[in-house]
Amino acid sequence: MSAGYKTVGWNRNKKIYDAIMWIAIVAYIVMFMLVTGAAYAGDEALSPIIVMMRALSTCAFLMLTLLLCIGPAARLNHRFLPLLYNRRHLGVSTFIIALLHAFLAVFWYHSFGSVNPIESVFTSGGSYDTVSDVPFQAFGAIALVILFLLAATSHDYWNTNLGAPLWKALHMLVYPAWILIVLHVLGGALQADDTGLLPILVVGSVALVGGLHIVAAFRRSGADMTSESTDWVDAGPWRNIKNNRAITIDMGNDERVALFRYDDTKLCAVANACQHQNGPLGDGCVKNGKIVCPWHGYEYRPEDGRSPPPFTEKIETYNVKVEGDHVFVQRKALPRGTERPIIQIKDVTHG
Amino acid sequence: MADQRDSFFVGYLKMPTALKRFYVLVSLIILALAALTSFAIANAQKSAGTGVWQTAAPVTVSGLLSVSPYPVLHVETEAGIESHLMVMTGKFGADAFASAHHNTQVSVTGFAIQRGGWNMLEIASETDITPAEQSSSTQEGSALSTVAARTLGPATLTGEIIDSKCFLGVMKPGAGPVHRACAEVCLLGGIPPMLVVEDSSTGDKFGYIVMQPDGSSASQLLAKRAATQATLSGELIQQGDLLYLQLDDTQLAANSQ
Repeated sequence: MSAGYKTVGWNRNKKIYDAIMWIAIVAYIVMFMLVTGAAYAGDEALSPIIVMMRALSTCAFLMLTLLLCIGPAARLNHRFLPLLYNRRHLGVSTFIIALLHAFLAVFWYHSFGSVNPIESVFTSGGSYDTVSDVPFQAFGAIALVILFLLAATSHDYWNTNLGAPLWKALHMLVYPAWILIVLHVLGGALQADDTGLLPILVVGSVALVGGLHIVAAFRRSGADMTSESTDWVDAGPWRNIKNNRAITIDMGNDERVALFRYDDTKLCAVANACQHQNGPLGDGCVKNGKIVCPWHGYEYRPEDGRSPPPFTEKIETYNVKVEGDHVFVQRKALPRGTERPIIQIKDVTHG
Repeated sequence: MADQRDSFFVGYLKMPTALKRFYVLVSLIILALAALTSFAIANAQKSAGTGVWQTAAPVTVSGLLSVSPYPVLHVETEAGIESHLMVMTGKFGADAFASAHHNTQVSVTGFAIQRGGWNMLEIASETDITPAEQSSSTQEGSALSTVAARTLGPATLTGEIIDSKCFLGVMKPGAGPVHRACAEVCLLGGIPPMLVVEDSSTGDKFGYIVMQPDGSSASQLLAKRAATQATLSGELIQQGDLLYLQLDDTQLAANSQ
């Protein structure tokens, strides 16, 4: 968490994350260049710029695939949350690699001729008469613009000023970008490939990203408690909530609530969406007496849904009651940052 | 069950020990996958042939320059006539600079582009073409007065329409769908188009420079069909060591549509 803005927010975990990421990127590209150089030398040598273009493009494609897998993987297993924590750096790095690829492609394939290079990207090598003949590089160019937009707004400054819902909606454009990139590969490199590897790469990427999202969505719908249409929503037995963790309740009115049990006997309910990036607080925990968002560690006090000073984030809170061994959450949310009684299980059961 | 707090990751706090071990493994897997995937994809790339673009030092070649349909320098050697297609730097043909020297003996200085038996010279300016008597003593070849064009008969050929400059060695690979836009821009700039026919049994490639029925350049005509498979019909002609396909009129109509 931060009370101010820095150009790039780094801490030890992020530095390690970035170091491993860039070692992998450099290893990938160096390996690609060396293997190609060993396979084709002398008169058979491939153009170094084309080889670099291929290395960068496949690297960016794999990075984007990994990027899109992190969200559902973290929802399925909390051990993958550290990959999500610094996902923005992975996203910006993916854009940089894709940009380098695009720069080489425009320089090598579209420059030095009688056609403006940018115009050539959209008009050369095909036509718009049929879908199958659309220049494949146009798909890549549009995807690159989207990736730029996402990279440029990945900073918390934009997150705060656009607001989490709009920021998140904007960053969902990564999916159209990915589809455009798949089309870019299908119409370009895949048409020239007879090694059988690129189809495996593309199909594997689509299957992995699509599969993980479907499984995570299925698991989520199964995990959510779904409310009935009364004023109080039955969240089930309190014993089903692990200590210092939460369950997520679908309130049936487009709202989701994170119901926490902490210090063994205390219960509290808050809005599920973190104010930072709408991360799922219900997948978070209570640590040192604070609700902690699983994505970037934003904290909220259970008693009033406010971030501890000097931070100013606030989330909606909900009234909770216990009847028998069942917990009930009031359907109507209290205004953000509203303090309300914390229910003690022992008080209720023995009172 | 162990308390979840022990393994819950908070980015700005020290990573729990149990997660650390997991992420040492994850990091090693990511690095190994990066290296292995890179190796597999790089190793699966196809050969782009033996074309070379010798940019280390320019060469000077002397011979008879003809410009129709494309600038070609014909050089007499012991093995026979060696024909060098001429192009400009970038994606442009050399017509503008060569036309003033049609059917004259010249020396041309430029970067050599070679693939198999094909030869090409890339020049940068009109000063790279000089009358033969003014050029240096390092010239090759001797005086040719004319190079006859020999008609070999009608032919129908199927292959890929490419721009000869990239295909002969400037870009490797300089053919195929990924190279399509570049090939189109090259042809729009006047680079001679070539129909490359591959013998599927041997993999050998045969190149036919394509011209219009009236013997003029077909670069612009074929630009939109660059890097696509095409069946072209016309008259096969040999001049020097180059083979040309002079399109017939029906072919021209089909390409104009």
